[in-house]
Amino acid sequence: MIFLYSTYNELIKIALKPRSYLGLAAITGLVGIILFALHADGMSMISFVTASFEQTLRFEGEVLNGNLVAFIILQMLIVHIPLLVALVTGDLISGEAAMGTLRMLATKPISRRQLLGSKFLAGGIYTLLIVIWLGILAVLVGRWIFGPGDLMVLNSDGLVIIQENDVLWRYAGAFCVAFFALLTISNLSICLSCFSDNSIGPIVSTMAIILLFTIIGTLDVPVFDPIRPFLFTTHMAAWRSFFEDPMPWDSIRNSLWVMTLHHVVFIAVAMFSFNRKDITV
Amino acid sequence: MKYLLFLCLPFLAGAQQADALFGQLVQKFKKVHHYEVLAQIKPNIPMIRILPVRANIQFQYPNSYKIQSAGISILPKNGFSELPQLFSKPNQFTVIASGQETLDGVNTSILTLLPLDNEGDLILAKIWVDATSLLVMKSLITSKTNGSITSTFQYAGEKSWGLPARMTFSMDVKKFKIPKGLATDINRTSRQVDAPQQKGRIEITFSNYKVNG
Repeated sequence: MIFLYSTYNELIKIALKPRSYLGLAAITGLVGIILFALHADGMSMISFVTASFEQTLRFEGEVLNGNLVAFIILQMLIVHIPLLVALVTGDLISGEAAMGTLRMLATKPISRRQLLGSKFLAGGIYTLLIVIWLGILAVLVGRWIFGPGDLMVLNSDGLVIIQENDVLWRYAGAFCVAFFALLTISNLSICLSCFSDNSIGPIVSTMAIILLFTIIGTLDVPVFDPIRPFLFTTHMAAWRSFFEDPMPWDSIRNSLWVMTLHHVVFIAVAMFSFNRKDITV
Repeated sequence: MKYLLFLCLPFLAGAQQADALFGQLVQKFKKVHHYEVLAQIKPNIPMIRILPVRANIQFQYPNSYKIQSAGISILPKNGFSELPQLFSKPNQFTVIASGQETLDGVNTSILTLLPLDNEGDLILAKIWVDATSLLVMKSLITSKTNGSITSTFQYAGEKSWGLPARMTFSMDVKKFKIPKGLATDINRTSRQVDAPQQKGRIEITFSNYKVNG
């Protein structure tokens, strides 16, 4: 019970920090700009994508629709959302250490493990809220403005056109996987937060790790081939697999396993570190 | 001079026959002022995955098409509306008889249409015509921008109007290249290889014709 109270307290603390709304505001602003741009000149962007095919073929029907808009938004923003998540979750331990409230918190009748667990849970709930807000703006507002329709997705294998009645469940699955990927970022930043006594360090470190792993993942150099499958950034785009046909369930399962492994490692390292953290200084 | 004229006579006769056959096709085409038909479009194109789509097609003489589909459908860029365009402007082509060929047991006459305007996109069109029932059985449209597209036609109930029950288009798809930056599958680390030259097919099955209604 005390764990739930502690989680509730952590959520209140997150809610009272202005930076927590920065992520939601940034997503709202960015989605607004993308929606405006696509509404104003979306077809030229679509033409750029389909130009290679349109030498021989022509597409009939509403290609630029709410489902495609939601996909474009998700693809554009999922790269930037880790920063917005880390901005809040990276501060959960180190922020308290910097303000000196961690010492007071540790005197409460709650074990350090439970205290840290409640912070992980609160960070997860905040991440979920970010993903839900993105989903509402991308899918619901996108479909409201542009209307429903078949989804045209460009993969490295070619073009996949998914029928409208087959799209929504894919979005539900994609957002679940995207949330799971962002939870990795949340857990990483909380883990790093255990090693620091200032707010900026864990946030910057989280972004630096994401950048480093992303560069290793995207550099098409054979020397990185053995480690690439084990980097969590490699699997952060696993949500895209929901828009392939046939759906690569094995690949999705593999991505979820790798990310779960990262969750376990980050939580375990954080627990180990936090239990031994000197909070008297 | 007389001998030269004598030698040219078979060719002149052939050209007249080709002109007459093309003229008959044009006359038959002119009978259809308007039609509406349900179509099922089934593309089978390498690098494109799409389920068959139902569409409503409306045609208005001479060459106006309106296609309404429930979702996104794929049609060949050339070949679908080009044939009516050829028939609607018969004076803009030179018709040459290019021999005979048997297609699915039907003896056809091959007509080659060369545009008089050299600046246009169309390079040449070849049509295989069943001269007895005045039906186009096959066409090959070659244009500067889109290459060649072959279409085959199968007929059923609307034979008398010259409207097909099924059209099959085949086209070259070797040029398809995916912009790398737009299709980043982070899970895929293998290097991309350009697709080998392959043929794509689009089958359109027509039903419920409403002609001149």
